[in-house]
Amino acid sequence: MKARSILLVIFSLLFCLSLNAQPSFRGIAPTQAVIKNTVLRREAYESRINEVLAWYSGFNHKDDPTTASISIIAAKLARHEDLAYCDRSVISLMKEPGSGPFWMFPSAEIALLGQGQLSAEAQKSIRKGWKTQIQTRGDTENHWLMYYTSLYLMSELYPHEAGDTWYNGKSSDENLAESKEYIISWIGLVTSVGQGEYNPTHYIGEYAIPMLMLATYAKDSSMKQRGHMILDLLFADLAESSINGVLHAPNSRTDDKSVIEHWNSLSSFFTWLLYGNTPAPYGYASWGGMFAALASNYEVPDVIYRIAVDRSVTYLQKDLKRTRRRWRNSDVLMGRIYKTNYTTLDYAVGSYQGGLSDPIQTHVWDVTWAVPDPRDKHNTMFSVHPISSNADLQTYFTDPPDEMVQRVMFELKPSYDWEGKFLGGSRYEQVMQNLDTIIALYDIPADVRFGHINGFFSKDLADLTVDKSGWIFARGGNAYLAYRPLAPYTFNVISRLKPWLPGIASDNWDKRLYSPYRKNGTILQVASSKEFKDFQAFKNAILALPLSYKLDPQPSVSFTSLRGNNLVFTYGKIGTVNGNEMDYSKWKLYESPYLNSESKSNVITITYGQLKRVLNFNTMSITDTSN
Amino acid sequence: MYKYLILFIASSVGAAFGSSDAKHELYICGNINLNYVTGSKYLTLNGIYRREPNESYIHIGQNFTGIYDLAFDPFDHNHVFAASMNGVMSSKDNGKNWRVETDWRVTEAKAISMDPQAPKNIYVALPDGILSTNDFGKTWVRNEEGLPVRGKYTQAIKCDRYNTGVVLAGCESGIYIFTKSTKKWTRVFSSKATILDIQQSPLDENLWIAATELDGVQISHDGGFNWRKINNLASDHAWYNIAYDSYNKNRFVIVSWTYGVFITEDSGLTWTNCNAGLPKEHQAYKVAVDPDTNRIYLSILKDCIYTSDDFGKSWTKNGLSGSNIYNFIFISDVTDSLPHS
Repeated sequence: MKARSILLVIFSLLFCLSLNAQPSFRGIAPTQAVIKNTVLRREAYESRINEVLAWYSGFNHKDDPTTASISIIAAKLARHEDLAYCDRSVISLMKEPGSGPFWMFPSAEIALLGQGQLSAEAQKSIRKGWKTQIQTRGDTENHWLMYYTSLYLMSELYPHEAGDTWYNGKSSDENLAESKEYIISWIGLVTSVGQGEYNPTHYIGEYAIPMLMLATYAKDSSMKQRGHMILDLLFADLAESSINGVLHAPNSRTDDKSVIEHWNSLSSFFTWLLYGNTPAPYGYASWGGMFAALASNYEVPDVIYRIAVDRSVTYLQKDLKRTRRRWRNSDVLMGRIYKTNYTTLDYAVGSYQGGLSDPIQTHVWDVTWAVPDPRDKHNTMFSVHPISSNADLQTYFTDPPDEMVQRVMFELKPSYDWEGKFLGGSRYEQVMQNLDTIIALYDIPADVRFGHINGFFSKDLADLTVDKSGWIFARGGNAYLAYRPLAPYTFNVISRLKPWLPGIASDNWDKRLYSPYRKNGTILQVASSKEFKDFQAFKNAILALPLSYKLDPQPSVSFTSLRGNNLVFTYGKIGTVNGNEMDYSKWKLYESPYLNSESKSNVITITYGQLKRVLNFNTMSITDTSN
Repeated sequence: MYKYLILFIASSVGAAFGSSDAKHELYICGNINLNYVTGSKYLTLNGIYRREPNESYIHIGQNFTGIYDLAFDPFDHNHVFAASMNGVMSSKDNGKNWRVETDWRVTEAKAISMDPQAPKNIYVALPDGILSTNDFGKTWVRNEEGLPVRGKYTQAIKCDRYNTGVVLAGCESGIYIFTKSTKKWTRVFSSKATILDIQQSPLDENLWIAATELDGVQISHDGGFNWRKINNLASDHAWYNIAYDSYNKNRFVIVSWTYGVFITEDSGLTWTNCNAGLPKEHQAYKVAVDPDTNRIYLSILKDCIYTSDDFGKSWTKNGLSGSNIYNFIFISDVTDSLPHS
């Protein structure tokens, strides 16, 4: 009965959603025009905020507060309307508090937004939830940041209260001190060693929303400043790692839909809201409303905006990141991640080297080509080893060995044990990138579950051609693509429809390159159509490139790229470029025309032309210059 | 010290004194709500259950999926420590209300053990090592001298019931022993993967058994200093837990997700498969033996608790349907009125 009631509520909500137009999702895709006038740009930003708030606020549930969502309440509080409804809804929702960071930050945001608006009874109901229901801290970096930021702000909101008034038995002062210490520690790690959950397609919200809450409401000015500065860093990284507003690979964590349809993610809500250069995802990707309710308190810096919207200059970006915590099976607690992006007007090629970022949801490499309207577009190409491994999960999780695979599949990662998946990295994949060339090699032991490679071939490719040389050619937008499998394969229509995959399978749908060989490899070379007279000229250029490879005893490739660099890469060894070994030891935290930072410096410089913003996390200062 | 020893004997977890007048209460750490993911609402009750005299279970305290193990103050059962997702927690009202004693540096505590002869000393197994207190939880310190920098993931920890200051830890890289004299951990068994459980016999202070992920079942007859593999048992998959017969020192039970339940009557020379009467998917997760009745309590994942009153020959559904039990904890109903010192 309860399940039926929940379904009815969901269907009712979906029905209501369908009745409420969402202009940015349904409308014409934004152009890539740059708004140079900062006043007009801010107006456009505010307009987008208002669209979100109006959309959420427009749901008419005045007679039934039990159907309210926290985003609707946040929108109404941000608009200072329907306060009686908000009161009733909050009181109703707080009768059954949730149990962890995903409940903590929305309820804290409502409490903070509701100051001076919600009734004492409604505020008391939130506060009571923070006393009676123990909150789990979770086990990921985003969980902890949501948890401690929410606890920090609630402890500030209710200062000097005794331990028995909080779910964890600690007093306001104790909670405030511990939360502050964690947040500062996390920021120190991010700005010296790198982010663990870097460039996530969804989890960016779980960082950005708490940090906006901190920037907006922290009474301690240094914490407020920290929130602001981390937002700048997150959004500068997003700006640099996206093309026309679409976040591309590599991603520490993504999901089954977004890995194929990159735009279809919460990250696109942020590029839409902040930079206005892509359509908003449906329903603002769920959490968008919680950011929008406070978004007027954030000003997109000019320098970040310009980085986001200008792809006229090709650039190479090299960043340091780190893996999720490895509890077992590793010599280090957090491995280093070396991230590379090569971005042009027409495409971006990205990858990471250094080990497995995350055992389930990482996306190691791809090419993402630019499209004028990314909705329903699968504008990417890559290959993966679809591993399923208890040992890998044990490395990163503390659960008992045998149930891990089942557990992660239940916990919203349904494809983990599916041989057809495109999501996830593998310990048995090693990648080398030089500019717009990728070499991915695979050496999969016989006892590893799934001993094949899945290559993703989009429905949106044009002129897909299998050359007798072994190269596969295709066009993606204005990008020319050359994909070379190193072992025999077949093309399989993705006919085994899974609810977590985007779209409906058909003969003209996405294809899977299926290569059932454990020693394997992929070479990808990308170029812009502008570089060649025509597609045939590109093919001829690729066919003329020197290439030799072998798969035994280890996969090994020697390939002279379109850019004239001789790349030699053997599984288990560091690659060479023109005879010089790639030297990862010299990598900086950020290095590109736009973001720069020495490792362990805690100082990040964001640059666009003459515009410069320095985020100094040692002095907690922001310095802007525009020479 | 002598008084502590007497007290410990009366109250030790899983101790076999069924013939005495001492009775034991059974506490269970477990989850019923297997549909829980971080952030979702709890639809059912999770955390701590206590067995009632009529064999039903009542839920105690907060609804929380992250309580894995308990350690009761032998002087005051209202005072209890928990190994939890959020670190180490303590309660002074028998688990109704909790305080998180540790901070953000401590997470996902897997097991907790109190020295029965010196209850001020408590040891906690962590994913990144071992934590301890020697002042009843007022202060907590990392207790890791002798552990490797890596390979110190710790799943199991047990204080020696008979020898105060001796503690055994089951880590990723092997079994480690801590003694009062050395004040550091010494590896006494090197493993291929995580040691999942260590248990001391209630009838033979020198007998310890360890369940491992890839090294089968290991046995020690000298108080945990030397170990050998028990033959005639598969070791391709993990063994999770061990429990001892309360009366017969040669009989014990081990369980596994893959293999189910096996029982020996001759100290491990021969084994009997005791899965008859259990579901086909006998994913055995946790086992314990009632010190009073010698009844076996067995958790089959996502199914329920099964009990056996004939030591594994037959099984009966006992309750907590749909549960995932992390631990069965027996404590004596006898407490001492001595103040802590």
